[in-house]
Amino acid sequence: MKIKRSLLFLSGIIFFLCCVGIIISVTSLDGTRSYAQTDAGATVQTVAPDKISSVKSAKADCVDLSGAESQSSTVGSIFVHGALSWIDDDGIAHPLRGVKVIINNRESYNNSPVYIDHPVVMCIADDNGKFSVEIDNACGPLNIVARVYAGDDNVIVKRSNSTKDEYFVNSDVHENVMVGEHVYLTVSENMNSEEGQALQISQALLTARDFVAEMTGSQPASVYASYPGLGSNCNYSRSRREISILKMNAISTGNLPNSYASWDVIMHEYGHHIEYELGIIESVGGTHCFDENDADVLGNKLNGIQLSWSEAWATVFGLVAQNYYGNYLKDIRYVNDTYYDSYKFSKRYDIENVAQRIYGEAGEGCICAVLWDLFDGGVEKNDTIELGYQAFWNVTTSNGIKTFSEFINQFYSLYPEYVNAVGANLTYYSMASTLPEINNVKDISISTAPTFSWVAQGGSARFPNDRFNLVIYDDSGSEILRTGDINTTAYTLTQNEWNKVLIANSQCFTASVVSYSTKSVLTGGYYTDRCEKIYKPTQINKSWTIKKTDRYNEDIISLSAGQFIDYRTTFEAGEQKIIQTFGVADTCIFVYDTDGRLMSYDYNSGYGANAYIFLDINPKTVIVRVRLENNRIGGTFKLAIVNVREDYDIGCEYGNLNYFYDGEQYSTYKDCVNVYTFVATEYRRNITLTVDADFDSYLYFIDPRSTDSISSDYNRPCVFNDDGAGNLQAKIVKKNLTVGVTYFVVVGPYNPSTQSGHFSLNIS
Amino acid sequence: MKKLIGIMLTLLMSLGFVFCMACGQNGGTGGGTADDPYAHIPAEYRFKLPVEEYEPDRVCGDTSTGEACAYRSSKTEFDKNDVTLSFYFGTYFVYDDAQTQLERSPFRDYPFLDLYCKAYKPVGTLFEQTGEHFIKRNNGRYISEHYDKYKAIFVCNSHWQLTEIIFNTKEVIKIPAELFTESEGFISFQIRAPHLLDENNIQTFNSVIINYRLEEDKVIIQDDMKIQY
Repeated sequence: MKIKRSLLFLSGIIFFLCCVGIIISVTSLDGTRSYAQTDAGATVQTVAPDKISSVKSAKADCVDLSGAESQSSTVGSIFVHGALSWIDDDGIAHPLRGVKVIINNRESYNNSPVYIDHPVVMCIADDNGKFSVEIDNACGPLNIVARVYAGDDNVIVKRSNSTKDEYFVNSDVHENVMVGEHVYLTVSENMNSEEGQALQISQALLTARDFVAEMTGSQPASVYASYPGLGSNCNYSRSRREISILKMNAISTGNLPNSYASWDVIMHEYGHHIEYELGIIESVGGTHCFDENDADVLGNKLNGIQLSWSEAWATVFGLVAQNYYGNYLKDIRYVNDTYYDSYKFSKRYDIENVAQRIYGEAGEGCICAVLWDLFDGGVEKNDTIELGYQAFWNVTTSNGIKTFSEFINQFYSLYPEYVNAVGANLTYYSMASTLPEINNVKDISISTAPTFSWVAQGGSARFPNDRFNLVIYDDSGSEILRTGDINTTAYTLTQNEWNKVLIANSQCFTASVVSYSTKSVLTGGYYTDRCEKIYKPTQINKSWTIKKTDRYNEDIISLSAGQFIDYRTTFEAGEQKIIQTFGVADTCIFVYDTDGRLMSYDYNSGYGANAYIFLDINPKTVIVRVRLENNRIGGTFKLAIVNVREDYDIGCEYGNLNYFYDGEQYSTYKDCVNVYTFVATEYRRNITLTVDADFDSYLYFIDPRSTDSISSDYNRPCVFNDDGAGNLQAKIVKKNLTVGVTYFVVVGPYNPSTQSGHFSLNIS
Repeated sequence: MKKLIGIMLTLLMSLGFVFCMACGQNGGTGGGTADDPYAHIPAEYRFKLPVEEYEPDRVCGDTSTGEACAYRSSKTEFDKNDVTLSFYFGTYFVYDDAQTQLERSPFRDYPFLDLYCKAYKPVGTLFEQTGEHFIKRNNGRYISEHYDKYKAIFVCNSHWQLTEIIFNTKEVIKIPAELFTESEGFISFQIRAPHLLDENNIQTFNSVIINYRLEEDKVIIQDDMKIQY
């Protein structure tokens, strides 16, 4: 009979709740079903609805579910208001946020100790620990009692007994509440009971859960915490979706939180739950300390780096979540700071300033420090990055990363602009090598490449960094050069590599090292920051373009001892070029492609000690480097470049320094000019050069010993002329030429890109 | 009262941390056998541990500090004035040689290791200190001078579950009678490493709990051995 009656009661109350749907709630909750024992030992049954929607107004129906006689037929609203708090070990009260509250109507049987709580309304306490519920269509009077749970239906704290009873605390009972009345309930629980301790645990868990919901936009999978947990530590069981929290005093120093107040530990364990949900954990277990290299401890690199990542992420997750809700948590000791505080520690562990920073990618503390610095507002020496909550969440939780190495590569791909900025921290915490240093910085020159060295680091005695690439950057941070794999901690650039650095359009260069650990599984590469800027060895950079319309180009420059100049030269047209120096200085020319490969060079093929290069190239950019052959002395020279065309058939002569023949017919070719030489003799010291052409001609006469710029003044060593004889012909008159000197003559149309044709060069 | 003792027992047994290490990684010097590389070590220094059922997806426990300690007694009933127990303590060092260990964990080369007995009584669901006895200070650097003394061997199975801890050092301690003030309480044998320049800065810590019951002048301890790690 009793069984039958109970079943009737249960089915009736379920029907009652499902049909009437009552409730004030700020979130949608899954239903639970629980049975609990009152502190008085009387049996109480509670049935929660299967589904509760977010409706503002609560309605109750006047249904006699228990079979007891209704005390009144009056129907109307009853208003229930509640204020919930928990009191910490310092005696400070805090609002009990987000917990599930069920308003019950308590019925007793003829003054017996047995009573039944009829669930009437369920709601969730707000951020101030308050709730207000209007029960419409209530059939008063009711005996109102609020049951406050340690959590909600997504995260709840349960006892460790076999039935896993949910913790709750009942308010005082307000008897005979009549329709139209307002009831004010308060629940305030200190830490002298396990119920109170469970409430505090729930606050840590709900904070963690809410943060995940904020970041992901959805409620994570449910989990429960058992307290007092069994075993020798706090932990998380994936198969049971259970967080186990020990009951333990912080007896070590008396200055740290007890276990139930160790929010950092509790939220860390919840972090493991989320790691599994997100697929960012592959932990094999084993011990873990902040200040060890887990790969060394386990003697297994993969296990070690997976362990350290999962533990570090869980720790930082908790601290970031506390920071997110800092305004709510500011009065709780050990919460919302940069310290990881555990009941079992003898001191606080500051992840902002991790003292032991030699453990690298398998060091839990080191990873914590790097992650925290990426998240927080960078104010430290090695920290200039502030990702903030959402970006930090996204970059640490996506794509199933399970090690720090996987994380950093994901970070690099998402934030290429921070590759080197995070490097300072990676070096500081030993993931990356130290910054590269130049051992021979005083000796480097054009022909002496720098030698770099660094300390491998890596954090592990057994699995250190052992493979490296050296990366060279220009002034703007663009990569100039990346070496191949280096298996030592020192490297001298090859001459080709050095050339590539030297010809880069930048006065300075910097360098970083990318480190890998190749033993067991490959990890890395971890970029260092860039080293201080290093000025190239007394280099001058210039850029110029040789246009289709150009007839003759020159640049005059003085170099001091050891200096050189790189002309980044772009040719718009033409195939063959003459590149030569003029003046009395002993110069040499080197031509490189933009990858630093040497294409051509010359020391003394020009006039006197000058250099001369004939180069057959398609329109492209090359680096023309000019320096004095003896780099201990300085000097001035002129660099001249002309477009020419090798085509004997049409009589175009150029760099073989052939004399021109007086009055002989020649032709010009599109985009090109003609170059000749003239050697002054006793009989030809005062000359007049004229061009007889069927196009608008232009004429240059260059003294190869001079660094004077070209001029229209015939009295200057290097002269030019446009229109001379007639309206179209060029003419130059030169007197007092030096016998034996080979002068250079350039003949071309006014605009080589549009004009060409036949001409004769006449001398008198 | 029995319920209270049970609660206390559960609470105190859970004091500590897991420290699973690679199997036979730390130690295994000559004298053992293939089945038991530590057979040469006296049995009293060896503490077998209960091994929970292996759960592949169970995340290991919260972050540890590193020390282990234990006690052992041939009896459980004592005269109040002569409660003498053997205490064992040590730490897991990752590396086989002191030099590497020192290079990798220089901060753990503690200058002192202090031994204490502290007495507690239950208060509510927790407890409160009622007395303290300073036993001794071990001078000398933890790693660079006493590596072998403080080195404990942590033996694991293939699932990284800790199965045994083997100590290298022992202290026989007579617990002062005046610490036994409660009808029921516990004594905490503690190891502490204070900073060289700051006595209040405890660099590492652990303790093992001896639950006792006082019956007139007799002290009855609950367990004849216990280990904390």
